Amino acid sequence: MSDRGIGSGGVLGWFFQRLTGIVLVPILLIHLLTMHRYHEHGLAWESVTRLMSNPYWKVLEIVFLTLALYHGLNGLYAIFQDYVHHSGWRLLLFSLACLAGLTLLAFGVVTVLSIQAPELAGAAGRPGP
Amino acid sequence: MERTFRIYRFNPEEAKEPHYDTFTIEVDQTWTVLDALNAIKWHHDGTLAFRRSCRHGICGSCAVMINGKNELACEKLVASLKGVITIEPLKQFPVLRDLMVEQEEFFEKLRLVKPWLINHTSPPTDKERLQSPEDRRVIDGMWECILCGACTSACPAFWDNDSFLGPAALLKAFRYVGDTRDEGLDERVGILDSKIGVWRCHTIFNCVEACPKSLNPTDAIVKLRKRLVKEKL
Repeated sequence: MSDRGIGSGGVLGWFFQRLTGIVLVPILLIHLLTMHRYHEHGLAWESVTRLMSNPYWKVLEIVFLTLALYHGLNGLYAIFQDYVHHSGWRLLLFSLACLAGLTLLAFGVVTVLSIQAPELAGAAGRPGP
Repeated sequence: MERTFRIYRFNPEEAKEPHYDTFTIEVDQTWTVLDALNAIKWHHDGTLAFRRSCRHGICGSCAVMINGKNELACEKLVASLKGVITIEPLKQFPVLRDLMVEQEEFFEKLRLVKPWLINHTSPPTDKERLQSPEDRRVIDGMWECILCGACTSACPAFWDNDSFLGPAALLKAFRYVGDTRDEGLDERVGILDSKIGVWRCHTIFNCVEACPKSLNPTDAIVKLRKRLVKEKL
């Protein structure tokens, strides 16, 4: 029998995949209902940016982004472990997944933090993002 | 009644590719597929190779794929099957000849999980190692495995990654990990928590469907995961 794949295990990966999956369900529902559905005068750029300018919503969106990225990329890594049998390729793909996750997280966090309500963006003399 | 059997044939010493032979024979209403295979071997083609031993669904030797489903040939009644009956070796195991597959790696994986009772304390001198009926019931559905390989052969996770321990070895692992008299989890955790261990299962349940003894290896794997999480976190 080949020894491919024998190595460190997956307790943490498996546990956090379940945990993030459970936590993501309510956060995803809150995100969808607040950002994509219930707006007083219909879904509009102004209403979304006004909501997103609230620090509490920013925190929620950053948590959502972090957990969703972890959950998605960890799932992708599980697929690599199933179908990529060469340890070198697996390490490369794992590194690329980490890099992609960190890059997307950085872009996401910067975007969420830079969103300002339209009236505030106007007062500062520059348009909102 | 007459029935037609389409049987997978492969002799690596004579051919590079397998082929199918068709036999139409007279069968009795009470015959199992194993009875039919015996009749073909004894009266039609003595070169047909297949494994069998107990003929009572206990030894697991005669596990084959019958009409696309893993079964014990000695338990499957010919009368329960419709049309031409196709018999093939267990999927994904290397074929030695005809319906006989290489099982060495299957049993090597079984040995990796140490399928025996590990206990570091001396046994009592005046009685056996006792266990309550409740504790004993935990391993019901785990000890009955006959190691036929039908579940492992039916596992899609095993099809792509033949290093995966497979449902049979993991079911056997929980038979001991779940036994209150066993103290061997520390010795087994290395292989169970490895990249060829419990994490490769994706709860597809093919093993449950394939098991001729109606056991549930997926349940055993999930219980092993819970034990590992409890142990490590």
